[in-house]
Parts: sequence; structure tokens; C-alpha cells
Amino acid sequence: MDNPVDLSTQLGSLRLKNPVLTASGTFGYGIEFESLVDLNRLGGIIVKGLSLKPSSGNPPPRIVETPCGMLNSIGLENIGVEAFIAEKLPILETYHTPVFANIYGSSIEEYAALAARIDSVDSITGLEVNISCPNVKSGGVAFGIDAIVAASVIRAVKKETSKFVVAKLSPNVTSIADIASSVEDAGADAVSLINTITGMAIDIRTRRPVLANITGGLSGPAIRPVALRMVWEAARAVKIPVIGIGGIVSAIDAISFLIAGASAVEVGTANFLNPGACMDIIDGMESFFAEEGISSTAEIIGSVVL
Amino acid sequence: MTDQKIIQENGIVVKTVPMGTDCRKITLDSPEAFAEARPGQFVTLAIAGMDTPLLRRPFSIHSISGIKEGRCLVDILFKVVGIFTKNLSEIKNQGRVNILGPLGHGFTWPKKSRTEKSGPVVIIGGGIGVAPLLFLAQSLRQQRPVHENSRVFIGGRTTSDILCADDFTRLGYKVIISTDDGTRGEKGMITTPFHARLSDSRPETIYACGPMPMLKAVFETAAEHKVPCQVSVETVMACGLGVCLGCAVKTSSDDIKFRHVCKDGPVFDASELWMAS
Ligand SMILES: Cc1cc2nc3c(=O)[nH]c(=O)nc-3n(C[C@H](O)[C@H](O)[C@H](O)COP(=O)(O)OP(=O)(O)OC[C@H]3O[C@@H](n4cnc5c(N)ncnc54)[C@H](O)[C@@H]3O)c2cc1C
Ligand SMILES: Cc1cc2nc3c(=O)[nH]c(=O)nc-3n(C[C@H](O)[C@H](O)[C@H](O)COP(=O)(O)O)c2cc1C
Ligand code: FES
Repeated sequence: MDNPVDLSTQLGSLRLKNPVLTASGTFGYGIEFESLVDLNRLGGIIVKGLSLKPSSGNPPPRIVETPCGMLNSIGLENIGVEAFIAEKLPILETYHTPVFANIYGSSIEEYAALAARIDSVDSITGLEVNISCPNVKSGGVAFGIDAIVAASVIRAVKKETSKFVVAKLSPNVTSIADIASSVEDAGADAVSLINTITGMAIDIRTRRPVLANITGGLSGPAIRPVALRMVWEAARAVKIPVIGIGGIVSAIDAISFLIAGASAVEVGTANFLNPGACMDIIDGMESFFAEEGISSTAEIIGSVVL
Repeated sequence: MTDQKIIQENGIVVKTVPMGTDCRKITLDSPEAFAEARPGQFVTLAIAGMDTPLLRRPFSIHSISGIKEGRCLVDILFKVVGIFTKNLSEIKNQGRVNILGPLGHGFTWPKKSRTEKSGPVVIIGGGIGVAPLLFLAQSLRQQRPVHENSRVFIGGRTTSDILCADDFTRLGYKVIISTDDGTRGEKGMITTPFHARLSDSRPETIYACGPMPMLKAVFETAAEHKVPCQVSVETVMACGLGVCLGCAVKTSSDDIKFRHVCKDGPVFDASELWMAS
């Protein structure tokens, strides 16, 4: 293209070169894609969910394909925050793309400790706080399904860091608008949604659940309409920017999330189907903006006609 | 391991050959980078323009059958078991198949000079498990002459399951066949003749690919004779790149609970996965 379209987007205090980020858990620590994707072209990289200590995750089988999607019960396996900072980050730092650390804990104290650790690392732009995981203290009920608990996690994180904090919301709730407002009040700089929707698959011959963990998180195109509806609801409920996630595989999908009110999007399962998915989405957005004479992303964000 | 670049591109189907009753060999005209692939490594495929099923499917590299003018011919031998493999079997010449690879960690063998005397090897495949083993046999043959006591064991349910036997013979390997129904070779499971002949001459290494129960049985025999054994294992995969962490397998160690088939495997030293009983 002779005259590249400006896809940059404002995410609160952050200016991203384009609204396409990689979703946590679907792009590893970024560097696995070095030979397949121009990491410098991404709007941002959100790395695999990090915990204080390395975690080995759930027993296999961990994944199964379902209609237009997949269930996963990885169980948040990761190398731990220290190994990430020591081994992976130095390579990511060589690119000019903002890195966001996705974090999770089993107690509010663990979230706070992670935030404090990451606050001291200059090359990490922000944190995405995964509140969809089980709270050990309340019998494994996810932090993210209770507006008050969700807010206390975000408040604890904000106290420990001056970095940009994104609250990543669980869709397994009755009112996404309530949770979004609650984390906004607690000081979140943005919300991202949706995380996976809890699902299940059964093998009819053995009569056993296909996943060893019994249930898993549904992702991929199957969840896209649900995600789009929730992004629209959240965007109406809060003033902070919303990042749309769920089943985005093409530029058309990404643009529909922007129109619904998202200031940026995250691409997840699509990276598995086509490692170059984010590049194709960015290219497709550029063409669409050019064809439609759209001069900035701001023009399209939240432009849904009701 | 040398630095190997993973690439993704549309390959063009240049040849398809039916094999047995429900298997097929397709040849994909692919980027030259695939010439760097090692035996036991795999690729993931997606059929261009077809979005059901959703996930890419993993297939071993069966052979690199030609390299010319910046292109490379990659052979895939597969069995039709479900939607993807059915779709793949229906692709005509000149059809496009998106290929991603080379992926994973393949078979290994001791580096030796051409003059250095090498011991015999045993290669054992069950059913479609021979797919990665031909490439292995070819590569070993390229390194040094086939030892007179090297053997290839191929097992299947019935005669049409026995694939590539002549290819191995042509390379100079002695081939031993068994079928469950006795329609070709010895009657019964391939692990029986394998077990029986292992005491005749101790191989340097045993290489195996096939169903899990077969691999475990091979490992038990190998462990009994204290012969190193490499197995190629399968799990369901989403990414093939080591990022989704969906392809975990349990290990025999307490320290490392899981390994990932797409990155650490698909070929493992069998003792990494199991403890000999
Ligand atoms: C590293 C690796 C290398 C492989 N190499 C080859 C090869 O060279 N040739 C070949 O024919 N196949 C190979 N496979 C298996 C191949 O990936 C599956 O047969 C294929 O994914 C099935 O897809 P489908 O859509 O046709 O079947 P599905 O509709 O997905 O499944 C049909 C049936 O096949 C079973 N199945 C699905 N995936 C697998 C799997 N990964 N392993 C075993 N059974 C499975 C299902 O349980 C089901 O019963 C390999 C697998 C791995 C992990
Ligand atoms: C295999 C896998 C692993 C994931 N791991 C994480 C994780 O560690 N932390 C997190 O916040 N979300 C995780 N997610 C959720 C994704 O980031 C995303 O929210 C979800 O998959 C929906 O988007 P998609 O449909 O584009 O995949 C994971 C998803 C998948 C499929
Ligand atoms: S298949 Fe994704 S990590 Fe192995």
C-alpha cells in the first residue's frame, strides 16, 4: 500500500500502533512466533498467564475440538514470573511492541505480590489481571464472578503498581456490566473481555468427560456472538477503554468488536489455526479503512448504529 | 540442535496415491526450508478455504522425496479416521494445503563417521505408525550402510494395513511382518516376533511408532534388554508450536510432571515417559 492507513488507537494513557493484540495463553511468550509473525507489527503482546511460582498445570487430556471452537483445561501451566523476566523478556525487549504480563493468583496477596514484582520491570508496559481463576480461600470460586471480590483484586494490584492495569473479565457471570463498573471503580485502567466460557464434552462410548479436568474453557468462533454482546454491554457501562476478545479470526470480526465499543481487540484461538492471523487481521483492517475512507480508529470505535 | 526455521505456506498437492484400504500418500510441493526437516518431525496441515474442522492436524513427515529450484517435495502418509483426513483424501492434484513446520523434536542417532562400524538398529511400526519410520530408515541409510542385523518390524490388523514393507526392503533392511488375522506374515501382534528376535542380536537403538499399548510393550522389552528406545507418540494438538500447552503427556519423573509432545516430542526417549516394571 503506498499510503498506509493509520490504525493507531488510544487505550487510556497508552497509544498503540494498532488495535490488534495477542490473547494470553495463545501466543506463548511471543518469541515462539518469531519466524512466523513480524512481532513489531503487533499492537501489543499479552503473554501466557504468569504466577509467582512455576506451575505444571492439569493432567491430560487438556484440549478437545468442539463445533467451531475448542475446550481447554490447561490449568494455567507456566514457567513462573521470575523465569519469564530472566529468560523470555530479554528477547521480547528487542522488539518495539508493548508487552503486557497476564497474571493470576490463588489469593489476593499473590496478585499483589505479582503486581509489585512486575512494577519494577521497565520493559513491561502493563498488566492484564486474569480474575477468572479459582480463589483458594473461598473454596475455588472464581474471583471474577463476584463484583466485590473482583474489585478487591484490582484494588490490591493498583496499590502495588503504577503500570497500566487491565482487568480481564470472566463471561461466566450474570451481569458483565456490574463487574465492569466495579473494577472501574477499583481503579482499573481498562477491561478486557471475554475469557473462556465454561463448557464440557463427553465421550459417549466411555461415558467419561473428554477432558481429565471434566470441564474446560470454550474459545474460538463459537463464542464470538456472546463475546460481542458482552463487549457492547461493558462498553456502555464504563468510561475506561474496553478490549474485545472472543473468536476473532478475521478483520471483519475485529472491526465488529470496535464498532460495538472496543478500543482494541485480542486474538486468541485464531493463532492456532493460522499463526499469521494477527498479520492478516491488521492487513484486512488497513484495506477496510482505506476502502471505506475511515481516517482513524477513533472514528469507528463505538460507532454502532442502534 | 541446529537452528531450524518454522515456516507456514500454502503447499500444492502434486501427487496422491491410495495405500491399503483407507490410507493415502500425498506429495506437497513445499518451500525449500522443509529440506532441513529431520525424521520424526511433523507438520500441521489446514486445507486452504475450509474451516471445518477448526484446528490444524498434525502429520509426520513420511519422506522428503525431492528438492529442486527452491522447492521441496514433502510426502505425508495418512489414514482416514475422521473429518480432516477424509477432506484431505479428497483433495485433487493442484489443490492447496497449508503446511506449517517442520515442528518438534525428531529421532536421534549417534554421530559416526562413515568408516566407523555401527551396530544394528531395530525399527518397529504398528499400522499407520510406519509413517515417520520410512524417513528415519532413509536417513540412517544415508549416514552409513545398513547393518546386516538391522530389522524393521511392521504390524497391522490385516494385510492391507501393512504399508511400505517393500520400501524398507529396498533400502536393505530385513523386514518382519505380522497381522492380527494372519493374512500376511506371522499371525498375532508384532511385539511377539520383535521380542523373540531381540535376544539374537542386540541392537544399538530401537525406534518405534504406533498405538500407545504397542509402544509401552516395546519399551518393556527394550528395558529388559537394556537397549535405548525412542518412541514417537501422539496427542491431540491445538497449536503444534509449544504455546497452547494442550499436548501434555505425563513423564516418569516426579520433578518434571509433564512434557509437551509438539515441542519436547513427538519423539521421546521412552524412559522419559515410562518406568520399566
Ligand atoms: C505428532 C503426530 C504425528 C502424526 N502423524 C500422523 C501420520 O503421519 N499419519 C496419520 O495418518 N496420522 C498421524 N497422526 C494422527 C493424526 O493427526 C490424526 O489422525 C488426525 O488428526 C485425525 O483428524 P480427523 O479430523 O481426520 O479425525 P477426528 O475427526 O479429529 O477424529 C477421528 C478419530 O481419530 C481420533 N484421533 C483424532 N486425533 C488423533 C490423534 N492425534 N491421534 C490419534 N487419534 C486421533 C479421534 O479420537 C477419533 O476417534 C499424527 C498425530 C500426531 C500428534
Ligand atoms: C489454550 C488456551 C490457553 C489460555 N490461557 C489463558 C491464560 O493463561 N490467561 C488468560 O487470561 N486467558 C487465557 N486464555 C483465554 C484467552 O486469552 C481468550 O480470552 C479466550 O481464548 C477467548 O478468545 P479466543 O476465542 O480468541 O480464543 C487461554 C485460552 C486458550 C484457548
Ligand atoms: S500443541 Fe500446543 S503446545 Fe503442543
